[in-house]
Amino acid sequence: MPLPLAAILTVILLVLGATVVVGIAAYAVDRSTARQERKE
Amino acid sequence: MDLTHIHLLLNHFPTIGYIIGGGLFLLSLITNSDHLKVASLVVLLGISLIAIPTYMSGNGAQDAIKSLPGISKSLIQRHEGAALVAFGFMEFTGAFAWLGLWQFRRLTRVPSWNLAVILVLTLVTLGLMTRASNFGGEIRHAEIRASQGIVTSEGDSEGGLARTVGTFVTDKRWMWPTCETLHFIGLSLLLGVVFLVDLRVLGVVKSVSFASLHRLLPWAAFGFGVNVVTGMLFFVGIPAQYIHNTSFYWKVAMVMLAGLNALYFTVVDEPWALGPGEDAPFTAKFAAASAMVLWVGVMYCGSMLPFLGNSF
Repeated sequence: MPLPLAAILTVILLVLGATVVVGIAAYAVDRSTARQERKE
Repeated sequence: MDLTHIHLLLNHFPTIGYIIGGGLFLLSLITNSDHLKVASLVVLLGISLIAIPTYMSGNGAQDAIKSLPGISKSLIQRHEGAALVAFGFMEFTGAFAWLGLWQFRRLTRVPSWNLAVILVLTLVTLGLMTRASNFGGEIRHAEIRASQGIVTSEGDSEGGLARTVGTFVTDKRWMWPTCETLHFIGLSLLLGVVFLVDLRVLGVVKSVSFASLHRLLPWAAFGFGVNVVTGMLFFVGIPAQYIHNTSFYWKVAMVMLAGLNALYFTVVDEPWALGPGEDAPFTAKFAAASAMVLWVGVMYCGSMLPFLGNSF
């Protein structure tokens, strides 16, 4: 049985949200470590 | 040998491992020893990996004993719920321990904020793990229950958290497709970085130093983290379709080995010393090739869950 529209939109929103959160976290780790490396 | 044997074999590792790893970590902070810090972080990370089959084999053990006389389903559910909470904290601790090892490689020290996070998480996890172990012991040891005044009749459970999460995963129609999509995104992130690093070590794009690619490893770690979370949600949702699935056993075994392999590329000096244009030593090439084989194996076994096993 196909997913209802509301469920499809929920999936899209959650996937986008989680991907953005993970991306920001990984980018923040990269930047802060690179900054520390430059300092030392 | 079945999952009950594996659970009995593994279930003391998380508690005892955390006492050892946490003790070493405390000692490293007191003595300010970098070697001890690295050793303790490796132990904490290793235990967080071992916790995956420990938790999963618990469902197999549950399946085997749930209909035996004198076994309380509510005690099992309480242990399962407590183990899930402890497992979650353990994986978080393992993630920060890995980050600490990666930071140590790049900065020759672990930042103090991360040391504080690891210390707090380790102590909390140790407490939660002790609680989960105690609940586990109560299932089969009537003498502990009696000394603590525990009634074993059904309905006295404070737990059932794992089943609540499991029901949420299976009842909400958007939950499984969301986890499935994120599982593939996590896999792409993980394999994209891992294969890049492995191919460099094997001699492709030699002009790039290993240190440049080492910088990308947190992206792979985040991908792995996404996959552990979504994979656990699948498992907690319908454990029955995994605990009797040979393809799943192989998948988890290969994830463990691949995790050990990742440790080599995170902390060992040999690949780190690989400058632009330099050829990697045999051991590094062997580690890179085996990582590729293992991750392809993980993907294969994951895809084959319905075909070699009985899932879905």
